[in-house]
Amino acid sequence: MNNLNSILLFTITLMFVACEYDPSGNNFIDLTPPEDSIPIEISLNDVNPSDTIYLYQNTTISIKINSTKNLQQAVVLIDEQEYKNMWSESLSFELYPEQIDEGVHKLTVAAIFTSDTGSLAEMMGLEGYSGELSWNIRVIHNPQDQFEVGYRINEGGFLELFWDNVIPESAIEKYTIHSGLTQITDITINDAAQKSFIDYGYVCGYVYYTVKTHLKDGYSFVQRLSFDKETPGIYFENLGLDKLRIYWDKPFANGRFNLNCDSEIIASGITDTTVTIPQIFGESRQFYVEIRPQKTAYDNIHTKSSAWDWFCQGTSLGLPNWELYAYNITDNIIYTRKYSSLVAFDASSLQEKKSVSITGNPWGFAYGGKIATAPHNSTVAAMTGEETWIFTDSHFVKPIKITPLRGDVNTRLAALTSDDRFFVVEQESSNCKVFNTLTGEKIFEFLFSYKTRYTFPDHVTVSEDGQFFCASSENGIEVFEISGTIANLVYTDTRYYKGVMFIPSQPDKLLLRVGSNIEIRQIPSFNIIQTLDVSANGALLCNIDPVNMSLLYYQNDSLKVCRIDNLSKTIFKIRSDETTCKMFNNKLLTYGKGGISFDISPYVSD
Amino acid sequence: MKKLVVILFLCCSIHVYSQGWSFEYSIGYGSYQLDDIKSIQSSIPGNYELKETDCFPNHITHSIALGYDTGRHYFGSNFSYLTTGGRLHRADYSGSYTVDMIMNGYRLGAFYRHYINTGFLPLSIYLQISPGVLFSSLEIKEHVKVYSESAKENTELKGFGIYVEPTIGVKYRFSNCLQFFLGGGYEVDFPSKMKYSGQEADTEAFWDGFRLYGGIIFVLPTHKKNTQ
Repeated sequence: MNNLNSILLFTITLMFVACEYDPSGNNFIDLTPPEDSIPIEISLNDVNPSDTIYLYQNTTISIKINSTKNLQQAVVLIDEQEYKNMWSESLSFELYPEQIDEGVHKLTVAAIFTSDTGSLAEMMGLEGYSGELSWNIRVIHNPQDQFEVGYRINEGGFLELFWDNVIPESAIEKYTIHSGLTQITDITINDAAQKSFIDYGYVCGYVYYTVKTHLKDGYSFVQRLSFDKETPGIYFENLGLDKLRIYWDKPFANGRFNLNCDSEIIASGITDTTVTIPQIFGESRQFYVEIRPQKTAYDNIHTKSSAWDWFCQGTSLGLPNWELYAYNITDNIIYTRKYSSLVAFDASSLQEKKSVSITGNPWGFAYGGKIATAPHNSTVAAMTGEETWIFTDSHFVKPIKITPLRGDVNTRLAALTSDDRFFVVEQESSNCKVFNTLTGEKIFEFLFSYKTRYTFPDHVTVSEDGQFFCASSENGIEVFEISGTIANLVYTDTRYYKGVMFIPSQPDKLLLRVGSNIEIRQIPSFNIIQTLDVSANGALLCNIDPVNMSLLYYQNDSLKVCRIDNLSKTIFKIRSDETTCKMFNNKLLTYGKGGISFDISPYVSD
Repeated sequence: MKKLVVILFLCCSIHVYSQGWSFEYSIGYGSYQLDDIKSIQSSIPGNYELKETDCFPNHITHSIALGYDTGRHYFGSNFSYLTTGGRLHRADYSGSYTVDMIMNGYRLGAFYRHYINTGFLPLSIYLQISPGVLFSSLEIKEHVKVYSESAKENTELKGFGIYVEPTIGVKYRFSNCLQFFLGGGYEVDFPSKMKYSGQEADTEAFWDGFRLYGGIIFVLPTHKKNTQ
């Protein structure tokens, strides 16, 4: 019975469990499964995904998504990091370069689309289409800071600007170059691959450029460049006595040159930087090189540079006014003047030794003009505009003053003699006055007949020992022998004289320029000792160097030197226009031109 | 052998009418109001276009009872099992989404049945009243399968209440040990709120509805009595 009850209980329980309601029913909807793939179109500012997007300014990014299915969501990712969400098929947003690290990044647009099947999977988000497209973006902060402009000299020798951008050429529309100094108009380069510009207008000096990069999107930035290249200096080189080489530094870029001497054009439009021209002694010439672009089309006031300098053959003594010279053989001193000062130069070194100011009332030494030195001691006499000062030596102390006894450049004779006398023949005077140099007293005076109208060369002369006096002119000559206070005429004739001078240290020999000759005659006999025919080219006597006993004279276009004992042999010749030069101790000295000195010693041929 | 014993037991009972302990099993058919539960079902479909394919239909009930039969009076304790359910479903090529809601009720109560002699023995009419307690459970099984992905989730709400069911029926005494009966009644519930994970939900399980029964009664006589 117990087993029966157990069976019944088990059966009942089983029936209960088995009888639990089992819901039924099926709601199957027959849908068409989606296609495997659909076309998706994603555009970003119409940029090809294979191109790199350069982000250098705030940029509006416009994304458009197009597909046959509905967009569910899209995400804009930068380097896999979510940047923007899209809930519709288009999105515009600003991309700021400063918010992204500089460098290359990946911008991805990932989109999800519905399958539009209405399936359960679609409703649960487990069915749909997805697609993505990526662009490389290169972020550049401040591209103008990475726009580098430089310059160089190209192979042709012209200035070439060059530049480099971090912005690729594909994004660049053009370049413009503004050069206000070398180019009349701005230069536009439409080829983005061309990253240089040759400025044919620049040679040297200051220049500035503004190079602007224009991007295709309208953005532009500039870089400025300026530099200053030294204008070439001009230099001189003596090529012997006859040639002068003028040269200048090669400018930074190719140029063409015009070389002028004073107002004369020497060379024009040359590209070489050296010019050789003939020397000419006695002139301080200003050489002026004008530097211009090699191509004349680029000439303007800004592209012209210039360099200039003075040159004289020899050494300038820097004397301000008409130079007077006198040489003291005892002290080897050349006396001259600076304004109102009597100045002593060492004749060898040409260094100034001493000076003394001789101001007058009203003229003084500045407006005077004669200096004389004694042949036997250190005495020197300076004739001012009012009086004559006689110093015992170059220390210039306690002068003896002869008042009134003025002298100037036109004074015909001012000479100290070894018998301590001072011979003076004033301008266009036919009267020779003789003074005692020790006292300043006038000893005597005498008349002569032939007075010259010329200031140069000397037509009146006295021998160093004061024994003979000679006055010549174009009308004739008179030679006096001085005895005490009496002048006796010992010779006269009426030839055409163009200069006379007693030979230093040889008081009985007289050098004459007469007719077509240069003659040396014995005094008082007036016998001919030497003669040199100068009829072909003429000659102007300058002086006799008492140190070397050389005659300096001007002939044709040159200064010539010959020994006094051999007039026919020219031992030195130099091209010059100076007819009034003097020569002391082998130093040529000009009258005027600031006092140019030229030492002929290295060139003298014996 | 067991079948023979059962048959003999049934045959022996034919000639016996006695008072005694009884065991009763009945199968029935009931209608269930379950308005709140149906509301839950109708609120579920949401975005997935689920469709009700089954909505808590009338369904079979099972009952057992133990009682004491005095001849005219019959009383005791009974236990009933009520079950029904609903389904929300959606399927397509990509998968299926099924929400099965299985509602079970367990009634435990007392009953009193009074037999009325109809003069057509062994057929008699009876009236019955049966109060008791009712335990309800609602199990919601969600099963989603989309392509290779699948997920399941079960939710269960439990409820408690009391019920009372008046019934009228007829009984046919086949033997003293075996009786057959047919009856019908109406169940009225007084449920409390159902609970989900201990939290009270705004849902009550009203099993209210008509009940039809048919069953057999096994009687274990305590002494024999002539029905005539």
